[in-house]
Amino acid sequence: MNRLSRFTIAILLVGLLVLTGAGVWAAPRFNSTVPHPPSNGQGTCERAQPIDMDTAIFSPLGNTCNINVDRDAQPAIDFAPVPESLGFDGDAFKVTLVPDTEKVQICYAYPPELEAKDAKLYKLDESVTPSVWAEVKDAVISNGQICATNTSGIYALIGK
Amino acid sequence: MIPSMLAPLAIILVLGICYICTIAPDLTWAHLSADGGDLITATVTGGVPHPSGYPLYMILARGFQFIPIETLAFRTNLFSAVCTILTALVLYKYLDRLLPVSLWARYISFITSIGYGLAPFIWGQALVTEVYALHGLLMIVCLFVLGVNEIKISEWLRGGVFGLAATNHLTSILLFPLLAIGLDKKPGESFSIIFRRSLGILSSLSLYLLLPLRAVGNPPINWGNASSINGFFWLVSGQLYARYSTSLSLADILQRFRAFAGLLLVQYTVIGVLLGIYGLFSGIPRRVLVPTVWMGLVFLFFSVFYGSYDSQVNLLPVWLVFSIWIAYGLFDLFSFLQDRAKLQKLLAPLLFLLLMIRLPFVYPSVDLSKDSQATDFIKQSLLEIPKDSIVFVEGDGQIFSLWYAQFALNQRKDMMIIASGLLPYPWYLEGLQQTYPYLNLPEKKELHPQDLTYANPNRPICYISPDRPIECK
Repeated sequence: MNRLSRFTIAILLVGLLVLTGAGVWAAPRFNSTVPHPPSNGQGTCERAQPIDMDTAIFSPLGNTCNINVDRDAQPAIDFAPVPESLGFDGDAFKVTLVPDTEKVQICYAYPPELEAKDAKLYKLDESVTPSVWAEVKDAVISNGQICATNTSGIYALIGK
Repeated sequence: MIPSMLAPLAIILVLGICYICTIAPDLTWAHLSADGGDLITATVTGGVPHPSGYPLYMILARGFQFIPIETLAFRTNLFSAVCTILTALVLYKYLDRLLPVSLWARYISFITSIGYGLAPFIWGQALVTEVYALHGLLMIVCLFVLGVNEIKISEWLRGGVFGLAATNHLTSILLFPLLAIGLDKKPGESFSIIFRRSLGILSSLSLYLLLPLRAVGNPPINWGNASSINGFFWLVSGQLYARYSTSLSLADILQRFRAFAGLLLVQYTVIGVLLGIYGLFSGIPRRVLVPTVWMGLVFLFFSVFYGSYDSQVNLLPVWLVFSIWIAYGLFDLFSFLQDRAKLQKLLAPLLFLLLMIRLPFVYPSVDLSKDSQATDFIKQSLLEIPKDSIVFVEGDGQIFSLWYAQFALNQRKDMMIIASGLLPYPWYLEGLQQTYPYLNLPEKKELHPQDLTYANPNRPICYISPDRPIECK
């Protein structure tokens, strides 16, 4: 290959690099040296395998269904602010069941500090505009957990 | 043109001054070095850092930690600076031996080596605690023992160098096929040579056996607890990160290729990239061409496809081989001008001038002499965390900085640092119990932060993550 050909190739390739070279290195923030707690969990009713999201466990109860759970670290911004004088105790979780008639048991870890704050399980009421957090009244506290059985929706622990 | 000792001395002087003026004075997270706290702490406490354990780095960095100057982190950062200067020196020697004998070959080797050491990414890695500066040094030594025929070394030693590279960074095993490819017009090396080289690799890899020996002492940083067979293989195989290799979407991969093009231009400028591509097609001898193209391609593809957030650090060997191609491009340019001595004499100082003109532009982007993000975080955390707290931490920089403060600097021994992301691993729970005998660990298969909170009701609880300020209850 003579010099002119090499130079032409080099010019063309540099031109291509200049035109295409842009943007930042795609860096998934959860792929770090120390693994992060899961931000998403998926499963099926058939497997009957609870989805463990570190601070809460979701157990689908139906016979045939798919379940998807997404963690949300800023529920006040993404969904709705908490009722006055209350605050979020940890992350919120968006639970999606297909079909949406199926049910899931939701169990949040409930250590003494949450008991002291009188934390309760809330579900986002999306039937009103704007959405508001509504307490899940039949949630039961026992053995360091607060549990309720419910359907698809967005759940959070909210306390004083 | 240049006396044989002058160029190496000038390389040491120029790079040494630049690095000393910009090196991080203490622990830093800059230039993708969030793992620095883990490496420093494991080194100084005789521990085992994150997979794959980096035994060679542990041994060599420890030597620098004994130097009685400045902070522990500074001394470990210094190791990276020295490794990068050595890389530039070996690169100089490599090019000086391999470029065809001519009036300008030595000067081109000199300019290229300086240019490599001052490329923003390389410069940045020279200032922080990470394994990549040593990785770069081992990469150029691998190329040297493959490419330079005049130096007579045994095949065992040749393989040994490659094995040694793999004891610093596991990705070096991607280069092992080079030991079987014939580099002198033959398709492959003989069985006897491959066998001796393989023995050399195995001998060096035995350095990994240092990890179980360190793990036996139950150091506070003891990833995988390599004292058991399972723990050892879990650690050295990098199993923890296996899922990262398939975690990217096609869009992410395409974005990374585009980002790579941009990064290449940032490292060497349009002129440098033009020279490098031109040099690649300029009749590079097979014993240089095959290893450099192989090294460039495997590390480019590994960096792009490996899903860790900081995988671009694996591009360092790509920047290294590109500098070699630049040297060949420059050499061809000087050969083209051989009948125009005046132009040659004009071009030579111009190249050096261009490098120096670029310095003030690169300097602010790499300078860490006033960086205090990590140390500020440590100070703030130690101030806010109540006595005897259990501290749940997320984020590499945050976890490793607190490890550095507590285990390497012996500060705040009262607090119990818990890396939430490591709770699912039995070796971590064993280590926690040994490190913090007063921590009440419930006997459960899988522990969550709430379990620990519940089991230790009288201790204040703090949460630290990259997204939120320190929160203590």
